[in-house]
Amino acid sequence: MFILSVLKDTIHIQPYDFHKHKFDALTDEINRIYANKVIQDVGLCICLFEIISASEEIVHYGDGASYAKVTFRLVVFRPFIGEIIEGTVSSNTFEGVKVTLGYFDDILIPTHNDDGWKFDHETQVWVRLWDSQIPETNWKSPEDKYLYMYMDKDTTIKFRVIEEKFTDIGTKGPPPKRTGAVAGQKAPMPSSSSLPSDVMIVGNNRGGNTQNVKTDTTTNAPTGGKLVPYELIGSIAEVGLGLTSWKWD
Amino acid sequence: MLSNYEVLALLREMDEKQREQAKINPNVKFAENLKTIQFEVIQNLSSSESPSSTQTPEQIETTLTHLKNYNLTKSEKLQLINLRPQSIAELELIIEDCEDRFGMDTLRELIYIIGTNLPMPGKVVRCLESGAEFLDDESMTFIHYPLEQLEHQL
Repeated sequence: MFILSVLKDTIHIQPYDFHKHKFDALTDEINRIYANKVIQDVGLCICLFEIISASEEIVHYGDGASYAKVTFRLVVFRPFIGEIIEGTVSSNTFEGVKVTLGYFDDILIPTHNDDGWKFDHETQVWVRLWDSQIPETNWKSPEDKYLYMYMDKDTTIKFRVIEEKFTDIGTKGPPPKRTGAVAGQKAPMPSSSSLPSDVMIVGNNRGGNTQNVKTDTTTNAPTGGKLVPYELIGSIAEVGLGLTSWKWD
Repeated sequence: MLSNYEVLALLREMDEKQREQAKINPNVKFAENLKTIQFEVIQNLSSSESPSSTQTPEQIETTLTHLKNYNLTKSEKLQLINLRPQSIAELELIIEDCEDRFGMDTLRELIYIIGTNLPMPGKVVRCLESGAEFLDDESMTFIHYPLEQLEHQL
C-alpha cells in the first residue's frame, strides 16, 4: 500500500529554527509541508523517509530565511491496481459503498456496473448477491437463489483496487502555521506562495507533468458532487472478497 | 515498496522521538497534519485485525527467504506479508493464475510457510498431508493453543 517517492524541492528554514541541526530543521519543515497531503500522480504523502541530499543554504536579500535545495524520499500511500486491501464500510451512498481506511476516506465500490447488487430499503444498505449453492429444487422461496451480503456500517471489508483517479482541484490554502515561532512574535510567512512552485518528482514519475499541486481536502464542484484529489475505485466481484466475516465454504 | 510493518515501525519511531522532544521542552508543538496522519495510520496498522501489528523484522526476513524458492512477483510477496492469507481461497486472490503456476501441494506449502513464520497469536498451523481426499475443504487445519502456552515458548 505504501511506496517511497523521491522528490526535489526548495525548503525554507526560518531564522527561529536556525538553532536546530540542519537535517532536523529540514525534516521538520518537509513533514510540515507534505504530511497528509495529496500530490497529483504521486499519492497521499505520509511522512519523510530520508533526506538524500541537501545543498548549501542560501540567504536571499530582504528575507531572513535560508533556502536549501533538498532531494528526499517520502513515504506515500498509493496502492497499486489489483491490490487487495482491507477497510471499513463508512456509508452507503447512491453511487455505491464508501470504504474508509481511517487515514484515507475516498474509496468507492460502485454498485451500478454489474447486476450483483441490490439496495435494501429497510436497512438502507447495499446488498451484494452471491449465487447460493442450494439446488433449484430445494428453494423454499425465490430469495433462496442468492446469498445476501449486507454492507453494514463499520464492518471490515476486503476489496480489490481496480482504478485510481487523480483530480486537480487546486489548493485549499497554505500549509499549517509554523509552530517554531518565538513566544509572543507572529511567525513570518514567506512572501512567495505557500506552494513551492518548483516541486519536481524524480524516479517514480508515472507520466505526470513536473508542476505538481498539493491538495488536502475536498471542494464542492459546481454540480454539487464532491471532488476529491485522489480517489480509489474498488470491487468485490471475486470469490473471497467482501465482508471478512463472510464464510466462504 | 514498503510493507505495512515497515511504515508502522517508522511512524512509531517518529512518535518516540517526538515524545522525547516533548519531555525536554514541554512547549514544543508539532505540525497538526503530521500528528493527524501519524495517529491515524498507526491506529489503522496496529489494530488487532491488522497482520502488521504482530510482525517482527525477523519473521518477515525468514518468510522472504522461504518464499524465494517459489516464482512469486514482488507485489505478490508484499501482499502475502501484508494480508497473511490463511486459506487457499485467500491465496487465489493474491496470486494471479495460481492454479496454472502452482499445484495444490505448493499452495498448501505456501500457507504453511506463512502460518508458521507470520503467526497470529494463539494459532498454530499444521500442514495437511497431501492426498487427504476425505477432507472437503482444502485449507489448513488450525490447532488452537491457549495464549499462555505460547508465551512459554517465546
